[in-house]
Amino acid sequence: MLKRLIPTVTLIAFLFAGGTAAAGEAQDQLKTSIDRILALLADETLKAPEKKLERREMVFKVLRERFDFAEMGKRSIGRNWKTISQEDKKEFVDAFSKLMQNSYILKIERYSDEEILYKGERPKGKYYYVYTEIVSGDKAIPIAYSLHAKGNNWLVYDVNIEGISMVRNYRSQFNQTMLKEKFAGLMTKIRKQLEKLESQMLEEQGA
Amino acid sequence: MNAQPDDKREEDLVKRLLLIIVLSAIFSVGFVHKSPSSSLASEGTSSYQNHDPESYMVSQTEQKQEETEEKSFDDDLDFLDEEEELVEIADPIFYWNTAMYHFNDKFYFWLLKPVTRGYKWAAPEIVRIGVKNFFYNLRFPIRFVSCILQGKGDAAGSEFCRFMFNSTVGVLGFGNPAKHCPELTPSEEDLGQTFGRWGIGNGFYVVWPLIGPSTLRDSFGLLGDHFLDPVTYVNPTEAAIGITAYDTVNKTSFRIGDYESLKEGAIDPYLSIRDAYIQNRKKKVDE
Repeated sequence: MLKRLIPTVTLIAFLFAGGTAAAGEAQDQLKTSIDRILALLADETLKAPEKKLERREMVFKVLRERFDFAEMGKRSIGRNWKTISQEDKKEFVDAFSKLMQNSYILKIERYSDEEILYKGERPKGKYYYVYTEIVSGDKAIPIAYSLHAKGNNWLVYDVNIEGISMVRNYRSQFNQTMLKEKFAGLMTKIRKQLEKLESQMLEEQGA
Repeated sequence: MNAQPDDKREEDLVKRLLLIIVLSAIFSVGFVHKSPSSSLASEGTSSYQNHDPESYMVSQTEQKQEETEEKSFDDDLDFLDEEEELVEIADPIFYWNTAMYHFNDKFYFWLLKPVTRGYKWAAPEIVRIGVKNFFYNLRFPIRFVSCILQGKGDAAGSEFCRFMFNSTVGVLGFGNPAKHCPELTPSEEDLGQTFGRWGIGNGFYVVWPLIGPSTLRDSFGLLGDHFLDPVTYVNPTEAAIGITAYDTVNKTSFRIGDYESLKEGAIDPYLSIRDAYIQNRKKKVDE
């Protein structure tokens, strides 16, 4: 009886695992990436102004491995996604990921003495939510990450800060912009903001 | 001799009451003319924490499709059904709001931020935290009344115990010994959230000079909060304004950079802030 049961259980286990990332790994994988970024920021050898550019590139690399910017962008555009061409999609995803990375780096370069608490994770269908809190001084900001599986990796497709979903926030901006100015207007606005951020990054690089 | 200031105070009170009555009248009219889109917005429910789990059930086949399509962009828009309706807000006074947004933006960068920076440099963090705690403790009536009006008896009890504890052991509220007991830290309630709890919709979006983003509903909440705020009853009014200004600078000293970050990530800061305000308030009402 037992001998027959074991292969059955193993088979079932395999069916469920089915090549996708195993549940429960979402938080570990996210934590590994965040820890790597925090380590880069704390690294004394990277703190010199002339090393700033190098450090930024290293942070971006970790970000791109854990954040699915294409998915984020697609969700931010929402319903209109199907109406734009493949080339436009590529152009948009490239600009959007740059916008995300650049605004993220400016943010984390500004804050330094914060601690991240992991408040647990929760599966929801094929997704996973990881709840964290950023504690700086005496205030704690709740940040929830939404992750989906791609191969063996859990990738972030939305970040929720104090109840504000980033994807939904972008969608409200993108929807309105595309309604009035179409896709071209949206790209103009994204590029303009990117230029602003890039000049700001150059400025802060010298500081 | 003593009667004169008393008379003046009474006169002041009458004026304030009249203001409430007039505003309440506008309020009720505002709701009669509530646009269909705003009522839609108020009916949209749930934040990320209370999704219907059923809607997340997705078949295995889709998973496989995703893998084969990795090179090109994945056109699967299922998430649109998974998520609840986007919380939209009516914005009939858009021109006033944008003007006020620009005014507040300049006010922040040209006045509030430089003043706050100077203050932050001069006042040690321990002082700033003490002041922040003091004002939070002082505004206990707003939270307490809101909890009662929402029928949150436990939270009202927590607020009361916290107020007593921090006012005594915490020395007039400058200290916050209550923060070590989770049962004494209920979420911060106000009248706007109370109205939301009662099922009153946002109405429409309003940006007030100096106060910032709000909605019709939350504006009435703010007005009520104003009367529950002990600082309002400080005489003369100039002193009350001075205290409020100081409280604002002190509070801002913990938040320099937040507004900048929000603006950096946005392609249209006005729309981004409007949506962020609505999403954040919705979460607070749901809590």
